Amino acid sequence: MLYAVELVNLSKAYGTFRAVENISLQIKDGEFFSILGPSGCGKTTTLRLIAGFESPTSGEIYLHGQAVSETPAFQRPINTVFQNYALFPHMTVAQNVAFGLEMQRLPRKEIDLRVREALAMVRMSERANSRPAQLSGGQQQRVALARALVNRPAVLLLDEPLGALDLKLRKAMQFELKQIQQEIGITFIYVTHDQEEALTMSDRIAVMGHGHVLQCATPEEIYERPQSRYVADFIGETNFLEGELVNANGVAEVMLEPSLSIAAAPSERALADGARVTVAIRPEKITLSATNGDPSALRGSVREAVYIGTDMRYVVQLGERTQVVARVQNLGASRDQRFRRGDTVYVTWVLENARVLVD
Amino acid sequence: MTTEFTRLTVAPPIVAPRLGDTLRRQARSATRLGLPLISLAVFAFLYLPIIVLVIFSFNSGTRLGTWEGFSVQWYQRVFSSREWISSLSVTLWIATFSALISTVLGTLAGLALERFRFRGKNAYDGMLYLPVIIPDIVMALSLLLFFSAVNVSLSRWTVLIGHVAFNTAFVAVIIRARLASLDARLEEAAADLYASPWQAFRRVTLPLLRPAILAGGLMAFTMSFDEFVITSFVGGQGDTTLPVKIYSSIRFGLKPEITAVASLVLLLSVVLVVVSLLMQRGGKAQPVQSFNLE
Amino acid sequence: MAAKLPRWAAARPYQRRYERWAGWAVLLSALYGIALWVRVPLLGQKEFLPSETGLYRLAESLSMGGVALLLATLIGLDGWLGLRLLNDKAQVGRIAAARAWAGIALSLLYFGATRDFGGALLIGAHSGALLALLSRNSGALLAYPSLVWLGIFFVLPLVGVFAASLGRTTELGTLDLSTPSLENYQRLITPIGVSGLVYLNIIIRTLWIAFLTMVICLVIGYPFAFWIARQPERWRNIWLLLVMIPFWTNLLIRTYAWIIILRRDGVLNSVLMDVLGVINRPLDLLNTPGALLLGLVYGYLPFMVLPLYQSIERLDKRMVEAANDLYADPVRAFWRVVFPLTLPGVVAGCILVFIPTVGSYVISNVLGGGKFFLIGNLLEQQFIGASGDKAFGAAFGMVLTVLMLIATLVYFRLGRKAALT
Repeated sequence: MLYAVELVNLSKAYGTFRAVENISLQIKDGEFFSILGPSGCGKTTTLRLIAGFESPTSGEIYLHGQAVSETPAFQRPINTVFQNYALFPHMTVAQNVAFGLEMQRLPRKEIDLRVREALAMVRMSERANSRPAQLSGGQQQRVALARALVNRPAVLLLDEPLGALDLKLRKAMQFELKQIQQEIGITFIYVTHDQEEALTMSDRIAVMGHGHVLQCATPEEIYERPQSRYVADFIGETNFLEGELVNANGVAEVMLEPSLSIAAAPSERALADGARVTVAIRPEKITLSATNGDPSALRGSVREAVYIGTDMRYVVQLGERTQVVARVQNLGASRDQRFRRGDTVYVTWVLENARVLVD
Repeated sequence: MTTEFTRLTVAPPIVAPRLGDTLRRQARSATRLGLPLISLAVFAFLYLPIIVLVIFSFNSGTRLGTWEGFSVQWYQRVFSSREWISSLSVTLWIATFSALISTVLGTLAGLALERFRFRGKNAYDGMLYLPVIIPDIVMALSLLLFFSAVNVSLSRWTVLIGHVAFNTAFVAVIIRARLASLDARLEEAAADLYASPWQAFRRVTLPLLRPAILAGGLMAFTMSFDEFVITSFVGGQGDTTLPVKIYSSIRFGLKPEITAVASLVLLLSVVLVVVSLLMQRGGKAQPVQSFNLE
Repeated sequence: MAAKLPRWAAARPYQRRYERWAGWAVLLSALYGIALWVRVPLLGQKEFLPSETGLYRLAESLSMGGVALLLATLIGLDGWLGLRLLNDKAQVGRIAAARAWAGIALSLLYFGATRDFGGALLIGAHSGALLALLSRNSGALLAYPSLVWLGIFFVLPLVGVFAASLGRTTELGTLDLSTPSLENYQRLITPIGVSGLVYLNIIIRTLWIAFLTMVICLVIGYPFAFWIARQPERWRNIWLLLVMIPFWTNLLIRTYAWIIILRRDGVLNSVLMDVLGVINRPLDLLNTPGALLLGLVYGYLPFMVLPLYQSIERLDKRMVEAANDLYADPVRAFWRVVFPLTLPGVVAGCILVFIPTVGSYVISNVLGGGKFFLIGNLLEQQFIGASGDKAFGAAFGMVLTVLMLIATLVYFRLGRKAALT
């Protein structure tokens, strides 16, 4: 099958600094694909390579099966929504949107028609004759989107498009972007450092770190089954418990302290007994109870109890120097239903939710 | 939302290279090669005459365009000439005092414009820009008419007055540029820590402004040192500055020692300019800002 | 517990500092009055320049006793006011303001009577400073010194040029302003014998040469500035410095250097004849239109490059990327995005070259041999040397000033249009 975009062993180095190293990705047609990572992880460089603003040091980019890494940016059927939008300040909104079509030498009539459509789509028809400087951040964002989409690109690249907006507007625009994408069915490649944004909007996510793609999967997969400590750490809150693998076959048993062992899901990789491993457990997957109903439950005591509205957040001391964070949904209104500092609790979790990671 | 848009969506093919593209590519490589070549030529254009001048100041012959051997006789003649030395001292006198006065006035003006509000500020701002806009010859002739109207006889003092008038505007521009790049909240922070406006200025603003003030002063000195038009209009009989004397020497018989004087003046200006620009750079203000009319 | 104010803050209400300074200023004038009182009535010195005005005669007719009495009254008033301002809580602001205005009026009267410019300036500037202090506005106070300097030695003379342009130059070379007329302006557009509209031709020629200089500077300067702006930062600053040096160094000397090159026995002819052997007779390069244009471009090119560089360097690189992203090839990206966005620099550079070129006369004297008469040459002729007609020169100067103001207005109109960011 032909992918909308396919990166094969793509690398980009600036001098001795390797911004992107040996990346391979397949992005399907019509997919909402996110590249997620902290700043400096190479995600923007990857995007710029796809757009054609940078040429790769090695590797190849295929666009619907056609190699394009030698094609200059202005000949690639790809458009970009820039970070901070990069609207031309000396042109009106309509002139900005028409620019790409004019460059493709389309007839004036068609340009006018398509500009009007695109502005209607982002609900900016009224501001067609304004200058970018007269628009609010959200409005500039829409114009940037219209300016890119009006060209009906094969792929739309979005470089942290919502980064400059305030929280509420960002939420609204997330929804709107997703809706537009579903409506027109164009492949979106979305670069962001905001994990929540990536999780809620994407069909698939590639998590990047230090120039590498660490995991590429659906949001659910990424969240529930992170492949590495880096991914687990970057997305959501996680308890990392380091210890020695006692039983590598079947249910993993990890010794955290001489007198404290925990159980985890069997490792996907073949590991020998005695290996140093990390067990990752999401705080919300931990169950606390006041009574010891389960023989495998660990006994601990509440060190900290913080009320955070929807949830209660507890820090529970297990053994000598092990602490875990647990989040318990705040179901009852009465204070009696919550634990307090110093309470003894019994800690359990479903086996699959405790994952053994090696790095 | 438009459904039409959805229907029309078809991924366009990669734009095929058009007829003109090959030509364009050639044009592009021409720019890539052409730009450095043009730039090299411009630098040569700017500096060759100066280099030729300096070389010929060491010429032993009297003919200007023909090299006859190395000698420092023209420099010796300049340094032993009472006329050249006295015009040097006049020039230095004017440059020093005009730099001092215009630095003070320009710094105050820059502060007033950048940090305060007062009535007639816009008009005042416009007035400070006028010396940049009005050609120096108009300034010179207006001062000449003015001094004769108010019965002030021409001397080095009248030259000084004229130089301060145009230098102040330039110093103010430099100070403003620096102040604009300084965070005004620094002064608020000082005020928050019990500093009076004067203390805040003395302890916070002034130290940060010092490079710009020094640079402005040096600029003023250089401009005054090099100034010719106003000086030649409102200069007194006995108080001939170096540029004026060079000009009259050029117009009335080309003495070869001009090359030596000119080289010395150039050398001094270059040193002053470089020091001043480095100072401004140290203060992070772009030296170029001095020429922005906005 | 309430926060305690520092002791000094309670002891000296800060808001009253302007009044205190004003008090000292008024006291200073009283002290000066005492010095004058000692000098004039006691020692009998009256050093006024003779003047024709009635006021002068009035001052002359005052007896020494009268002068002493007048001065003593002024000293008393200033002393009283100064002390009140220093110490009193009562409102004496209005009185002080009246005192300041009276001082300004007095300085004008004094100048009218005695033609003593220095003395009048001292009185007037002092009173003006008092007014600035009484405005209780630090900005006005800071602006005041430069305001006085530029107002009196720059704006006032410009107004004077206009007045002079309406006057007539007498045979003695002095100005006669008694019968204002537009005669001098009419002369500008009156044909002279067979030569025709000489003066108008000078203006048109000057504008044309300035325009040519501007265009040549732009054509050379744009790629040059573009190149500098794209250099790595370290080098960029060095290149910039190399552009700045000619900008700030003596134009006269830089122009003079061309004489050595362009003379009949100059460097260029030597090279062409003896080294390259391209020609066998020296070329007349100096005193030609080409030499003039060369000198002007040489002199003012840095004025074009610096603002151009500034706006090119400031250009957001992503604008070019966005244009490329939207299918603009480099050539079209340049004309549709880069050039329009650097237009403020283009306009500023053009103005910075145009203005001094229109007013220049040194270059045409040195390289054009005085053969190419520009506005500046005509002005120099009218004001330097004895034979000039100052009133007519003033009219010409007014024309030049108005041309510059128009150019500047055009700049601000274009600049605002170009800089709508």
